[in-house]
Formats: sequence, structure tokens, C-alpha cells
Amino acid sequence: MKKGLILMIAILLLWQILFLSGVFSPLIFPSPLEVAKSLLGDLKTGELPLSILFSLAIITGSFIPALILAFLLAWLAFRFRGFDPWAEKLSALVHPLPGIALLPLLILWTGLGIHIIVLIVIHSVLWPFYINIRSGFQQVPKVWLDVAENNRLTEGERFFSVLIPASFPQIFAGLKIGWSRAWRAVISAEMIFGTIGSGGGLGWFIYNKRIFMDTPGMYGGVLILMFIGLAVENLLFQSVERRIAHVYSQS
Amino acid sequence: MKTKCVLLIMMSLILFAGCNKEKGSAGKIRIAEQYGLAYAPLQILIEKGFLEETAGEVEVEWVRLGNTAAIREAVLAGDLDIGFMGIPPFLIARDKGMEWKIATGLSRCPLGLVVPAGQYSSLSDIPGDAKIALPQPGSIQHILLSMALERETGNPAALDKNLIAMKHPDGMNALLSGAVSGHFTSPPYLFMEEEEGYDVLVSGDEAMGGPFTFIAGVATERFYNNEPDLYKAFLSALDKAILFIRENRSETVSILAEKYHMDEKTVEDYLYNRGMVYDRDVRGLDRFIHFMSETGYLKQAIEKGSVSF
Repeated sequence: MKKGLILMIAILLLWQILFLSGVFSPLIFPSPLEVAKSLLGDLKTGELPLSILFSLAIITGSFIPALILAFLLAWLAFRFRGFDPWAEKLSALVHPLPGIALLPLLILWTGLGIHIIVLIVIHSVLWPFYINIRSGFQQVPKVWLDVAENNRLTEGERFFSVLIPASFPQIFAGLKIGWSRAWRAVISAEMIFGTIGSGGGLGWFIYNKRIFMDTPGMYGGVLILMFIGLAVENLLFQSVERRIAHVYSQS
Repeated sequence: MKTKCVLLIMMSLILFAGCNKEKGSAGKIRIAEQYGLAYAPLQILIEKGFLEETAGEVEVEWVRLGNTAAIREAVLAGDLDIGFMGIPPFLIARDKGMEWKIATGLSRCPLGLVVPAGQYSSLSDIPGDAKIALPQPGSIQHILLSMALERETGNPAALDKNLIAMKHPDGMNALLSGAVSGHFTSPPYLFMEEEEGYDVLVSGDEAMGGPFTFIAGVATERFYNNEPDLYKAFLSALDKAILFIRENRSETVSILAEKYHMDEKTVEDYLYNRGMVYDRDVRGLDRFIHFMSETGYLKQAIEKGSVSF
């Protein structure tokens, strides 16, 4: 944490020095002070908080269905061995498709609306998450499954008490990858698919700043992106990771 | 580790500062255009080599960019001398302090808000949940729609909540598939949509209250000051191209049909029968400045005389 802080201060100092040197036009490279000012302004008008909320709401709204779908797919593949190669092939085919490439097709099929962004985020989370869960399930020791069977555990008990805990490290890795994919997908989808009057998330916020040549605002938007990414990584994932490491080192 | 990191960052910044581009070299002109019928004189100018004719030995670099924001960024990066665009996005950049001015008009053409035939009789008929596609906020299409709205409802932002930013071809698809109820667009998309049986609810001229220049050529002050001969040569080459379009119909049509991948009959119809006007006058600049200042798009006081050469 301390190192990160020092690094940040150093970057800010360099930034200010570079700005004062006047090598770049302020339209390309505004001063940190100006960026901070425009950030504060956008916070006050409510434009920025609304955009952040919009993006986070989209992510939450698409993350949960994507998780459920991925678990379902992985469980079906695990439970019914014949289904596994099919699911595997499907993910190999679809996973490399960038969500943005699907945007025009999705509009043609389902019409316009915020659901387009949700679908793109689901697509970008579902496959990496499924791949991780699948490999997690495959690595569950056979003995554990046999024990579960001998003790006549129900399907649900087997799933929640054996499969999930045994493959938690992979599932957790999938969550982390899924989050970063979702974050990227939501920002890029918002940048392309914008509603002009009624808010459209952080991606649209940045794009709008670009259109109106508000360079400090653009820098501000990118800084907020970094900040949120960092906050989720630090607050959410690292604390969970510490706890898991603790549990798994005991076993 | 820490010091190494800082050192690394410093070094990369210094390197980065070092590649600040050399801003335009002598005898070279770099021009950006966008896609559409409104840019036809530029296609002719390239194809017929008019610039080489008027300027002699000159290195010409043409760039086609997808939108005005990209042109502005390329200019800022020192990669362009002249760009072609609508007047409102030019004014937004001028307002933010970009050192460029209008050098010439290029075209006037019919723009308009296209809606399904018979659906609405005026802008106030458009329901609150209807969606309208147009290229982007602050584009000439957006400004024209705001002008029409101000005239009819008194509120230029009345439909802002209904707007969706889409490129022209996507907007056309959305309109034809019924995903949006209106599309504010320009030729050839406007013509194609009319042929599909859609109506123009408000035309650009009605919105503006008179004729206006759709696309203008904008030059950087640096280029204007450093390369006065080349600047003049470019404008007279443009004159030649515009004259060529007027006088050599069949050759113009065959050149453009190939460029736009359209059949010659359609190109001829679009170019000569639908109200496209190619000339170098700049019209409507005053009205754009006035309206955009009033609605807050422009923050500084801008004089008409100070934004063109």
C-alpha cells in the first residue's frame, strides 16, 4: 500500500512537471490540477456518480446471471459426461468472440436498449468463468466423490458440500478474471452504444468528454476507471483471497 | 524496486516527450475526409489529380476518418493540415482553443429527421419513449434537431432523453427494423430511407430556417501561415473539382460510382436531382454560432469573422 502511494505521488509530480514544461498543448495534456477540478465539477453535477452507478448496476445485473449460467453449464457437463465435449466445443467456438463484435447482431435480433450491454457483459463473463469452474470440477479428487456417493448425499448436497468447496480456488480465479472481463466489456460497450440524454455509464461519460473535447474530463474518467478497478481488487478480492488461503492451508 | 520503478517511468516519459511530432514539413499537405456523398468534390479532386496540377511538386496524404473527434485528435497530434467536417463540431473545438479556422465550404445537402410514413405529423407527436438515432451529441444532426425543437416546443433539449448515438448505416438498419422511431441523417442514407417509403418529418433547412453549409474544410492556422502557396493551390484545386462535377456529368458519375460501390444511375440521381449543392460558400455560420452559444455548447464569445480565414 505504501509503495503504491509513493508511486502515485511520483507520477503526479512528474505529470505536473511535464505540464509546466509546456511540451504538449493543454488540449492534449492538461495539468493534474485541472483534471482534479473537472472531476470535482462532474461529481457535483451528479454526472459522474450517475455514470459510475449505471456501470456498476449493469455489471451486477449481468454478473449474477452469467455466474448461474456458467455453474449450470459446468454442472451439466460434469454430471452428464456425454454433454461435456459439446459444452467444451461450444465454449471454444464462442469464447474468442469479442462481445463488441456481437453488438450489431444483438441489435438486429433483440432491438435497442440497455439489455444489449447486459448481454455483451454476460457473454464476456460466462465463458472464462465456465472454463475455470469446469477445470475446478475436474480436479476434485475421485475419492471425495466416492465418499459422497457412499454416504448417499443428495445431488444438491454433493454440489454445495463437495464440488464447490473442493474447486473453490479455481472458481475464485474465475471470479477475478470474470470481473476484469466484465469491467472492460461494460466500458467498451457503453462507448459504442450511447444514449445521449439519459446517462450511459462510465464508458459513455468518457466518450462524451471526447466528443465535446473536454480533455481534463476525459483524463478524469480514465482515472476513475483505474481507481474502481483498484478498489475492487484491493477491497473485495484480496480480502477474500486472504481468508481462502487461510482455510486451504489448513487442509 | 521503488527507485527502479520511478526511474523506468521517468525514462519512458522522457522518451515519449522526445517523439513529439515534427509539425508538417514543407511541400506536404495532409487532408482528412469522412465518408459520404457530401465529400464528392474531394473524390474528384483526388481522382483527377487537380492538386498536383495546381500545386506542382507536392506530397499529398489523404486520410479517411470515421468521425470528427478522430480528425480533431489527429490535428492535435500534428498529423493533419486540413479536415472536412460539419460546422458544429468545428465550433466546439474552436471554442476549446484549437487553432484552426474554416478555409472553405464544400457542400450543402438535404438532411432530415426520417420517420415511418404517416406516423407523426410534427415533432410534438413523438412519444416520450420513442427512440431517435443520430451520429453523436454535438453533431450537426443533433444541433439541427435541437433548433427544430426550440422552434416548435421552445425547449431545444426536449428529445435529448430519446436520442441514441449510432453511425449512419447502423441508424438506418435500426430505423428499417423498427428499433428506433426516427433517424436524423444525411445522404445517401436519407435518400435510401425515403426510397424505402419513409418520410422526412423535419428537413435540415426547415430546422435551420434557411440554407446552410453541411460540410466545410477547416485548416490549421499553422498550415495557413507556413504554406500560403499550398493553401491557395488546394482551394483552386477544389474549385476545379467543383466545376468538374458541374460540367462533366458522365465522368463524375462513373468515378463516384466506382468509389462508392453504387450503380451509375443511382449515383447520377443522388448527385444531380436531389438537392446536393457543391460550392465553396460558407452559409449559416452565424446562426450556428448564435444557437450553440445560446444553448451552452459554446462557452466563449465567438465572432463570425474570427473563425474563418
